[in-house]
Amino acid sequence: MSAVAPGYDHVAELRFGSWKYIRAFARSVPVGVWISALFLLLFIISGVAPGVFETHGPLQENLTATLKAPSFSHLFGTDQLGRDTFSRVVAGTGQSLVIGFVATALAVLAAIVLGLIAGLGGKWADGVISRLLEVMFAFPVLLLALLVVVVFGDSITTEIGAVALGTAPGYARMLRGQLISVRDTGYVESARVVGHPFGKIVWQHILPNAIRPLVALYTLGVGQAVIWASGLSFLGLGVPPPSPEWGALLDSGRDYVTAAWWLEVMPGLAIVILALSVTVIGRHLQARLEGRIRVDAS
Amino acid sequence: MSAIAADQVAVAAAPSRRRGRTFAQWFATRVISGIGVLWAAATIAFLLQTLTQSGRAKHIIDQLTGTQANPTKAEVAKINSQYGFDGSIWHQYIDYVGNLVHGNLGVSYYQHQAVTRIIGQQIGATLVLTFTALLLAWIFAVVLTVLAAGRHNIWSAIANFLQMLAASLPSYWVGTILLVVFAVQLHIFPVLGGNPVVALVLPALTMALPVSGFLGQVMQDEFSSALEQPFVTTSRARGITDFGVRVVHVLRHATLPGLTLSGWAVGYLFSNAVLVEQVFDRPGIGSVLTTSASNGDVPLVTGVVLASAAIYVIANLVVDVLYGLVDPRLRT
Repeated sequence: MSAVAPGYDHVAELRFGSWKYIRAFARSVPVGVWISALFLLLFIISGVAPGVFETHGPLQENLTATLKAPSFSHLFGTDQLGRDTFSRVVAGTGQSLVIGFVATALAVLAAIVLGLIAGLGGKWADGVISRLLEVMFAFPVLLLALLVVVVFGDSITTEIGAVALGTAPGYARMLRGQLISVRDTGYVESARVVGHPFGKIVWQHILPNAIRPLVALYTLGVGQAVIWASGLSFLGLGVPPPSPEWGALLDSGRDYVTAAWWLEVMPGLAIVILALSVTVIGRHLQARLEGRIRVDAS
Repeated sequence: MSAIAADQVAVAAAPSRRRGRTFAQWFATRVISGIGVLWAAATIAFLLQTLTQSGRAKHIIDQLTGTQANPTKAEVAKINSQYGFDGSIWHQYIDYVGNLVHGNLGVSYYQHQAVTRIIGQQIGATLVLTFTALLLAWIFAVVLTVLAAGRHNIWSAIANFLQMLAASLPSYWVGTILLVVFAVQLHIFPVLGGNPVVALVLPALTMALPVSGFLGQVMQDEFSSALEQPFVTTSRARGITDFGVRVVHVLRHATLPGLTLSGWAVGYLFSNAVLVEQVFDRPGIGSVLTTSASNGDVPLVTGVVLASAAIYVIANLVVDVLYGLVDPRLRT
């Protein structure tokens, strides 16, 4: 990045962190990504400090105002016990975010280990890991996650583990391919010819180049993890009921879908907006990392 | 998921070539490797099952007596020997695999019936839903691709956006929206029951939408690059209409990544059917799975998971065969 090629003088003028750089950076980000980032920020605030947005107590029942349609006093309406759906969605944000971010982090971590062994461990290791991944692919994500929840009991920890286990093979296969293509590039070969030790080549050349796409992939994966996790809770197999986790909200609203559509539509909307926001941000990161979008002064 | 789906195609897009072998030889190798995958899947499922070992006997006794009392040692021992939990792990494993070979997936802890029988009774409805959805998804994807791919206009942009949206929506939510709009508000479809064909429309549509998004994305990519090939110019020069070239020549190229993705899509649809069946309150594997999962009925859950793995393996075998039919280049 810091190398200055003759044709890129205008890039070099921008000192990282300078006002000009920040302005140019802001201009290079499309509006859709800004909106997504704003939504993600709102979600993170709701997750960290739900009190900022909650208009009512998330567990506060009001039997005189049950199953009320959305209005100014109850933005997302109320449920069968008169609890405010908006406040419950806000209160559930933290759990959904933690599940999404932690489960994806675990999956990516497992994938890095598996990918490294397969990509750099030689023919035998690659054969074994590739077969293992092939077998894991035969299990649909949701069903494998469900089996894990059945065996280990339902709690937020199992839910995270289950989603991580279900999604890890996809990342591992992608990373394996990435590591193999980086391993066979000219610069790795020259480093080997020059006589750099194996560990140094892996650490300095192979890992950074192979892992870069994972940053974007991680972001894209978070949205999917939230969707899978709330799918599990939707089946009544995630976080137990009084909790306002999004999937659990959808599960408990199911009995009232003919009378109170907002109990299903609104928490689902939160899931969709979160998933879409991280997808849009992830795709933008991908474009940046691949050099399709760059910061320049023009 | 769309990124993952793209990866599925990128990595899985190398269907096994026959490399001079006869079709029978090639097919036999594929079947054997499929059985290998299933055997390994069964082993993983078995290992997960044995993790519940200590609680299993108490679980069954609680269910039989309807109490939560602590069972005596003798009662536990009786159940353990009845279900074969008292042998060594190796012994149990050999029994398990032996039973599998004979098509026996064990007995449900709750329904006291053979797991294969319960699954057999319910899987039909789920498979009908799965394949109707796959068919719908193909129709949507092919129509959109033929009409919009490779054209740089507003319609193509809209189609593209819709596909990205469809690919990132959770099916259980789409299902709810369709149910609320078309059944509850507009009364176009019944909320529950009714004619089985009519009742299939909304759930199948729900499941088809995201898959058509994935299919459409990969098919459009391939379609656009096939449009740049010289054979397109040649065909146009011979006087075929633009639409004719698209349907007769270019579409064939675009179906290849679509086929590859379909093998994966069958597994994806099957597990989404579990959710969608719950949304629309349909009979099928979904209701079996949810009740057995919340009861802790491990043999039944494992049975369903293995059945879905088998469906995945078979679907991919079929895809490989179809691939050879569509792409003559692979038949050498």
